[in-house]
Amino acid sequence: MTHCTGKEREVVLSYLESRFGLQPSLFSSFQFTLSAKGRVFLGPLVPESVSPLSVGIGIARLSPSGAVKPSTAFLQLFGRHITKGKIELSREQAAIYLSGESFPLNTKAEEGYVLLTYNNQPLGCGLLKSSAASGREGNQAHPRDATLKNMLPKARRQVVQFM
Amino acid sequence: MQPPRIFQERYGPLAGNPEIFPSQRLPKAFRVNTLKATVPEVKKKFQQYDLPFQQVPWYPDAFTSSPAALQTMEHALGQIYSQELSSMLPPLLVRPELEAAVSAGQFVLDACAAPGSKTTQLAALMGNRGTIIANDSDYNRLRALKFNCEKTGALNVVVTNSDLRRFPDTKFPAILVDAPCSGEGRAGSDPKFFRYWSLSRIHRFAYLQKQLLEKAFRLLVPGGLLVYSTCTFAPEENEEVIDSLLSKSPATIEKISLPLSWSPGITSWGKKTFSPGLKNTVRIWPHLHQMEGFFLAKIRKPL
Repeated sequence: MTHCTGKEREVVLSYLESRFGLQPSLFSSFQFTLSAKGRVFLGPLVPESVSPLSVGIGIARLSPSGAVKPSTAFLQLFGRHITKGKIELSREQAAIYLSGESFPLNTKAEEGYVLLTYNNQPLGCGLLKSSAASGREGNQAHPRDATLKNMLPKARRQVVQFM
Repeated sequence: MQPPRIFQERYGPLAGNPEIFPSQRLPKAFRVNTLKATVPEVKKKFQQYDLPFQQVPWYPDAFTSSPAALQTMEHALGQIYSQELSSMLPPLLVRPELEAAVSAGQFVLDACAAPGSKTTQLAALMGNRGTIIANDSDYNRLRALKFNCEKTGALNVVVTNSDLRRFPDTKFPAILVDAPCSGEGRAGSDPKFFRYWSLSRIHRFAYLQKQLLEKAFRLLVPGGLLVYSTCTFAPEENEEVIDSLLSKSPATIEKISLPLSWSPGITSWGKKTFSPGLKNTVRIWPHLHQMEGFFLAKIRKPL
């Protein structure tokens, strides 16, 4: 684990603000660290005397090209502050998502990583991709067919009986 | 499986009854993870689901319910956390010290932290402020700890993988030592438990626990508080471990005040007698207190 450089931190904060409307000031009291595998962690101050295995929770993956993939743990925790890049699911869709399946979706939302919600409760991360068959981009006026790829970690997938 | 006769002979007189484990299973308990949801929100959901639930009088974040609580969306999202009631007690005992530690920019140590039930509870009590060092010597069990921190959103946790006996010299105002133990208190929910229960196992744990407690005490700041706990009945792993620390250090035992019923610790066992202060420790018996068996001691380092 190493401290994120100023540039790495800036890339992540800028993505979170532009994609989800999260103000950088929300994270000002936390440290950003980076694992060897490119996982960005948001966590507390670490005493100098200890060698940590991990610091806080993994909030995103940062690729060498600068692409950012947010984590479900992060979106669940900060979901109530997110103002854009989110899709409200129906009860049936939310149940499918929590069970770990991907599914088609007719939406006006932009492609990319999105926060999925049900009854305004943050569920986790999905990747919205245009269906090749639809052959057009969606916009506010015209929804288009897309696929919602399930990004919920395998260990967190569960058939939910009560929701 | 029935406890062996030697087990009943050891603990029957202490517990006032040879039948320590109730025939009926203890109710499933959970606590609301206040980092992600509020108590009224969860109560409303359980009412909508028509699931039975009962708020625990001594800890408003905690509830008893049915196993179906684990099939709710709130459980899937980490808004509730399944945890034995007795296991929720140690973090409550350090609660005043947590606020002071956060205000003073000091760190809190959960010395034997995996799989993270108490760590995530501490994080909730601290509102994700300050820093918890969650340490465990078992690397594999730390995976569960990290998973639980991610699921509950415990942001203020630093995970370390050290044998506590060789933990670097850092000072803490509050330390939890939920020591590895023979686990007799959980025998009621583990049908295979008595296959591996033995006196020699108890003595091995007691040897380790004394070393862990001595080291943890050295890591306390003057005036700091250490809560020692186990989920076992064996006095060798409980009162005798504390008594050993008292004989080697200036440690003092503080009276525990919790708004629930418990049994006091013992001051003699077989031919051994312990410090009178040991009566200020707490024993939880499943048949008397409707929780899994537990032992708690509050240890203060003088200023």
